[in-house]
Amino acid sequence: MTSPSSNPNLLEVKQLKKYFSVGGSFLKKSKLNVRAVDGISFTLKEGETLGLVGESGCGKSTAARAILRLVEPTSGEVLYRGKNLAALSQKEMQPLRQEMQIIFQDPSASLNPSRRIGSILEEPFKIHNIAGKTERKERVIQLLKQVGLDPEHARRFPHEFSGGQLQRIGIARAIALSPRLIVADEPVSSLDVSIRAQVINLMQDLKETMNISYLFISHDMAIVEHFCDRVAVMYLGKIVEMATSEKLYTDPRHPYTEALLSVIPRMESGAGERSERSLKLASPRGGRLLIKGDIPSPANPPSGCAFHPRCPIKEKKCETTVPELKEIAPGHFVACLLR
Amino acid sequence: MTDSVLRVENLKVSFSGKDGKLTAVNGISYRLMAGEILAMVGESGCGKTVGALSLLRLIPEPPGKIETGSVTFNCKDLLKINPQELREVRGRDIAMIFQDPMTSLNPVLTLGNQIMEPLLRHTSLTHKEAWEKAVEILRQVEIPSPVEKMTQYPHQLSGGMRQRVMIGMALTCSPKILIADEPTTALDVLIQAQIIDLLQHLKEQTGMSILLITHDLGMVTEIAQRVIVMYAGEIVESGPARELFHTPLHPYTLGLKNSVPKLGQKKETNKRLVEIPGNVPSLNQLPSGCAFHPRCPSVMERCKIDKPVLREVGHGREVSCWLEGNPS
Repeated sequence: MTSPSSNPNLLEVKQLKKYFSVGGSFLKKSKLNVRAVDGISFTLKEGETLGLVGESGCGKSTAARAILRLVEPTSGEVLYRGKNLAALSQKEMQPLRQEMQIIFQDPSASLNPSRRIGSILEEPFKIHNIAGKTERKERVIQLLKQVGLDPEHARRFPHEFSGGQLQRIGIARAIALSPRLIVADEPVSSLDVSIRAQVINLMQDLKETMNISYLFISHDMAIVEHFCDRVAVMYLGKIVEMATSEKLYTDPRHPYTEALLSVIPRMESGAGERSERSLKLASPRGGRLLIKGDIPSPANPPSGCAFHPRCPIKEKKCETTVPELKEIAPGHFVACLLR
Repeated sequence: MTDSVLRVENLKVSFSGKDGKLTAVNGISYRLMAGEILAMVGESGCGKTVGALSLLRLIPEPPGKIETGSVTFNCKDLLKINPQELREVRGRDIAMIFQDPMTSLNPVLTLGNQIMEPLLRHTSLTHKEAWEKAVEILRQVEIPSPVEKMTQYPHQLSGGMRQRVMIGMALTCSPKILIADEPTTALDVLIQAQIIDLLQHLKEQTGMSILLITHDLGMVTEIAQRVIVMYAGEIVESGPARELFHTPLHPYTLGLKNSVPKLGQKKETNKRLVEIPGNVPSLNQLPSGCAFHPRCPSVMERCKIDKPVLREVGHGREVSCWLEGNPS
């Protein structure tokens, strides 16, 4: 694999924030903000795949949408090839949208049920005014072949396909305009185990043939390790750890990352016997690091380090001081006061 | 460990629809042993949920129909006993938890009322005693401030907490068997680990047997002693969890094992995941011969015509495949 670390930045996200106000009414402005994304910064190089992992409600999907300006960010900058997307008007955004696409989690909900596949796949060409009618048809057939479907599928409706095939159509739509960046929001989590591998392999092939960079959002740590060059772990709207996937999986520094890694079951170990993972933290039962409690509400995050109520190694200072994301080794960022 | 608490023989369940009759479960037989966790694994549509629901006759009839088979529990055939007797078994001897805890709790009743219901139904406890028992159950499933929770409604709890309440409700009458249908699928990874841990802990405490239905192979290897792999309504392989995943005998099991990326092996293996080609067949157009043959990498001529039967191969393992020796 060529190392993408020396490539130029494709995407640079600086202090991106997205707050949603809740509890207000028509006349009364609400005072309560849900900090879905609370100041995240990262870069994505050309040809690189960055994984964004975390539990539901940690803000990973909102971050993806704010980056593509599918929701307007509250503050912060998103530099795409040096251009600040947040400062552009929707009209100026339009041509750039060809280069950045999104794949959604549930393919059946993101394809119009009353339109044929051919017409769904033609849509991007129509919107961006690319190619004439006959050429569009040819491009659609080419796309279907590219994602491993049959040209005659163009005449069918979404309900005639299985989940894995629908996700292939979702991918075909995303690659129609040869994008440079694809944001994949949990692209395989609604699929069956045997189909997941097919879709991941397809995305990998497209990455190599079309030189696509991915922002890959997932909660499946094993797939992220397989697919991503670098990984950012999010907790309650903030990035708590970011490193190359090799580093993050062999030497996790944040207790939250450690917990996420320790609960991944291994096929190699037998029943009741967990692999002896070199955990730095003691775990109560078995070899796993069990984290007590639930993810807190982003409307009312805990003081200090947001992870402190669930953290097995917290100290007094964690309750009051907010940890900054700092670089502890080249390319390895951690937001923890104790590490 | 040698006594079976539940014996399923040749269970066949079908559904009639406008495309005619579809066989969701096609003659499966297995035993659930005392004190074990038996996992039933398969992809969506393989019949694992229908198979489990049929044990307690919980599938809607019609369109569903239990065609043949017997489910022996306590010397009685659950498929034959009258509804009165069945009601005594449901919830008391055999309890069930479902995938989505939100839709299986009643949103307009307090948690206390819902937990107390089986106690008042199946035991002779007074209301006050049932209340105390319910609080104790909530404590047992490790819910913080249980007394407070008794008067709360399901929407006030998180997904993980709701699943704990469901498990608590299932355990109220100390069942001998717990059927858990995808108990962690709707939950976050860290919460999943909590629930798996809780189930295992409770199994050790109470000695009940658990029939765990899941598509999550990782979870299976973690907690199950034995595994049944299902494909297109039939059992294709079964055996002790460890051996089954260490040396799968059926190409489908091997495919499932290989299609999950393994941690820390990124550098060693090549970059592509091993995939099972094709899709799960739909029930109204099952392939001839072995239902897996169009997707099977070791397919032979015979597989296209003859349907293999489940045969014993020693060490408590069974497989339904024409292949001699291990698949590659």
